[in-house]
Amino acid sequence: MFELEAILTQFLNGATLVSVLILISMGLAIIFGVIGVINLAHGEFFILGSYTVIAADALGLNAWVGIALAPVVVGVFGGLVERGIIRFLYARPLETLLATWGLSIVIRQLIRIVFGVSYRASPHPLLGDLTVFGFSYPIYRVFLMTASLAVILVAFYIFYRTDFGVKIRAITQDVEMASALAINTSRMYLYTFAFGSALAGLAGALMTPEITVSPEAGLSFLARAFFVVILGGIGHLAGVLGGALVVGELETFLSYLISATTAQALVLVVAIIIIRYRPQGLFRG
Amino acid sequence: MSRVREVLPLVVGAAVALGVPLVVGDYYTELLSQALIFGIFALSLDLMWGYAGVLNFGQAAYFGLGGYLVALLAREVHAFDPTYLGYTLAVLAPSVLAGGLGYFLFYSRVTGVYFTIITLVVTMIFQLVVSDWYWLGGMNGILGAPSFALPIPFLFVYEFDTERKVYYMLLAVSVACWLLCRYVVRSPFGLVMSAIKDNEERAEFFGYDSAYLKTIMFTISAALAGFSGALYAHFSGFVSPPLFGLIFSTDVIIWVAVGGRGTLIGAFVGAVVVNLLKAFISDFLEVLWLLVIGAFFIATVFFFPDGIVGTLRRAYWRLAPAPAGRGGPVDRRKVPEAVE
Amino acid sequence: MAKAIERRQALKYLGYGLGAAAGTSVLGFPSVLRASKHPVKMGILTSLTGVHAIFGETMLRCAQFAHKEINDKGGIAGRKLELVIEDDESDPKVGIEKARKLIKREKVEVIVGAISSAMRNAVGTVTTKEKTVFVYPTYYEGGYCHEGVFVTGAIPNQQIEPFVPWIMENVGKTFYIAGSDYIWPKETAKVVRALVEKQGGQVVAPEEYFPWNTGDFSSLVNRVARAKPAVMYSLLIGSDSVTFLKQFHNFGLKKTTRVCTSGVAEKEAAGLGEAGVGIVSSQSYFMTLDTPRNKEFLDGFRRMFPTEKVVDSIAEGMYNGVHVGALAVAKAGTSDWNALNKAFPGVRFNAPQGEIWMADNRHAALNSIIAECVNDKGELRIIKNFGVTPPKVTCFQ
Repeated sequence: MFELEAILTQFLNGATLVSVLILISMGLAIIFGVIGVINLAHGEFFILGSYTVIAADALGLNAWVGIALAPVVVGVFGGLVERGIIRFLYARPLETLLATWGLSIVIRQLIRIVFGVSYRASPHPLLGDLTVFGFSYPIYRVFLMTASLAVILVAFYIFYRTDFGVKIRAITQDVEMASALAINTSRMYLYTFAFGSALAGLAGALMTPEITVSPEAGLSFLARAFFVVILGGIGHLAGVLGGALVVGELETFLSYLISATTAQALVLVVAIIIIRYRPQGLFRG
Repeated sequence: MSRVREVLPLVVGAAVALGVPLVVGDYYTELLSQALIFGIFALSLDLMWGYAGVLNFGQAAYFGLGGYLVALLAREVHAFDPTYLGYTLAVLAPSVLAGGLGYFLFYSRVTGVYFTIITLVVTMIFQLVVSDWYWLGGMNGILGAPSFALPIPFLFVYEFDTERKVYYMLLAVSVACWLLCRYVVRSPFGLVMSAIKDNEERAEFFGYDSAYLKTIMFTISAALAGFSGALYAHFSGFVSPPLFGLIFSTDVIIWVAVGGRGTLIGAFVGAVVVNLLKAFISDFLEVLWLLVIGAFFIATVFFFPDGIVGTLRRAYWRLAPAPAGRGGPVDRRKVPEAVE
Repeated sequence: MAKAIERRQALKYLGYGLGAAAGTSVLGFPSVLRASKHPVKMGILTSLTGVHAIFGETMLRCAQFAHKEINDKGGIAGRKLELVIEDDESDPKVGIEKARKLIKREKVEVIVGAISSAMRNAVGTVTTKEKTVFVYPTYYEGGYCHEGVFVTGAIPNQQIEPFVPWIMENVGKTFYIAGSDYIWPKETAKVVRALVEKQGGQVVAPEEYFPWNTGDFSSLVNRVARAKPAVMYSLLIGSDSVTFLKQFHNFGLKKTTRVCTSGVAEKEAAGLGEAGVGIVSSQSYFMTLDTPRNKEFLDGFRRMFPTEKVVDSIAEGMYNGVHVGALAVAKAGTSDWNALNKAFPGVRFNAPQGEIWMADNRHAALNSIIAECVNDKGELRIIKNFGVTPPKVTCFQ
């Protein structure tokens, strides 16, 4: 019974990590898959979501209000960035890299100027355990898993069941053809970028109670999201799931058995092998 | 007339490079020396990125490898002066690693963005492992790499003990590296690389083994990066894990992009400009300087898309158009031999 | 920010003005007096940007406050103190560059600063070669014995030796130890384990170390939950510390296990919120220290920097470092490196934490204080002050 509890907890830990990775990576995957832009400021969009929650708390608002506001705030910000900078750089991947890196530096410093350099905290929105047949697990983590599932379902719905989604998929396949078919590709890119940014912001807001909130915190999330997206394959949503599954479960499983550093290094090596043998990602579109 | 125009920037550049230490103080001379080392590092990236068309997001791994080997030898070897051994290993080890990676990846048709990602992962592994390994100093790094010296066996050791000596020595080394790269790039090998960069499939249809050639270029690039790492270890006397890191890898990409990708000299220009700019601005804006740098990168993208050198070159040659058949770093009139 | 820039430029001009005044007075004075009119230049090298900026900013403010105090009292043996401020960007590469700048261009006599051990090693490489005194104010793993480098930060014997017996008496005898993957946590863990076992306690599992930016500690929490120790001794640092402690709290483990640490202070507690409640920490200084000297320090500091909310032991170490450096220069009477080296041992200073002094082993005798975080605002209340503990150093780096 004792062992079973540990295994179950570990499984749920892995599942939570996978869910978290999906949340973090979904925005990057969508932007990369549809527009072909590697947004090096993705980590900053993520942490801006956390800072929205912090700001909401500072203004006396409830944590859930902050979480609801985050995708809106970051989505609008993403839209502005797209109009102001990204829009001019499509089909120029080098320039997008440079510009988004510069942007990430700028955002980091702006966060620092507004919120200060110290770590920030806000009240936990949902503290406590969910107990089923004597087995307890933090309820917020269960909530994260549900939220992640919801995000996946919404994304799938949008991409495969709506008009908007059809247009997006058309653009992903062949942007010139789509444009010739009178799809406003420029407007679609804007919406996609804003949507991806909003997802990143939502992820950051949801993760606030579990992470350190500081201006520099965004970078490590960029690295993680990057990883998941590349492993899983670009251009199809299922890829994010696959990538998150591999990275999340593998790392959790390994770190239970061996030292964390070795586990992380091993996951990186496995990643190399996977990319080498299946460069298109683990899952085909 | 255009002969003069071609040579003029070189002459001016040489004059400036040679004369600067006589004008500015020791500190700035040293700063420039560091910029030169970073310039060689950037050069190694430009070879791969500008001329083979493959972006290495983890170039710092080879830099760090070179630096650490020198520092380790300095710490462990006492029977003889390990200076030459240090440089040799600093060039060999990254070559072996790059050769291995190239073989593993290029031959399996892993290229483009996937290759870039793997190079990124490699650098992350290095940083992770080195930070954890106590014998390699862990997060504290390794102290005690000696300053620049040229040991003549059985005779004496020539020490570069002033900032000026170090600078002129590094200037000579930088020029040598630049000439070497120029030679590589203009050689038949380099021309084929250009072709591969343009259209890999077509080059293969001509009978060139692109995987083999890319691996060779990658090896040269890594060797040069390792060499610059060794130079850095001697220059600073201290190595630590951030030398392997993602941030440093990104920094060098920025330098090449700002200077002008695919121009070779742009690598030096970018390294010097960005590092001097940082030092200069941080003097005035203690905290906000980083904000200015970020804005500068964004501005570079919009106003200097070919980098500083690329933009300057275009402006320079636009003043009087070059006669047909000249201009640009590669003389396309030469026909490459088929390479096995 | 603007204040700091103005201040720094003002200091520069003040220095030039004094230099000019000194220059004009050259003609009529003997050389000894002439030399003594030069301001004492002290380099302040800390992280104003990058991951350590969270500590560096307050360190800078404390240095500037110390500078004001020193000059208000007449300077160093009649010479004004001038600070030259540089940002090491949390990157040892840059630390080397800036140290060289401070020594070669600004010609500082003493450098005070550096946060991480890597930074200390980097800066120390330069200062040792260029024969400039370097004062390191951050708590670290001990063992750094290089001539010309003096430490005003705590080392493991000061942070741990009184702490562990107290924990065993008041919290429990079973320990679980985890930390960040580098020297300070590993060396400290050795000391903790030795003390625990000597007193009949037990470390219930092998120590665990985590690389930087480990985002998810749920596996560790799971293992701790299974082992059910009385004490979770955390040697994680910076943002990893905050992430872990938040997740530890979220899993509800604080009900059965008490968190004790030497890596959490006011800055980390501010980022923990309610996750910080109940954590016991050991440092050489806490802001809530209720002594007249500390009150005097905080009042003066807050008057000069009204927006600064929190002073932690690293910042106080910096403040002490500047003062101790100034006292050593005054004692030596000259900036000669050898003379300064001889002047440091024995220097006593009435620090906010209490009276401290420099021992012969180039480290400082500092206080050992335990505090507990009592609310979600990161307030650390003192539980016990063990007084001054001399530093015990075994050189290994």
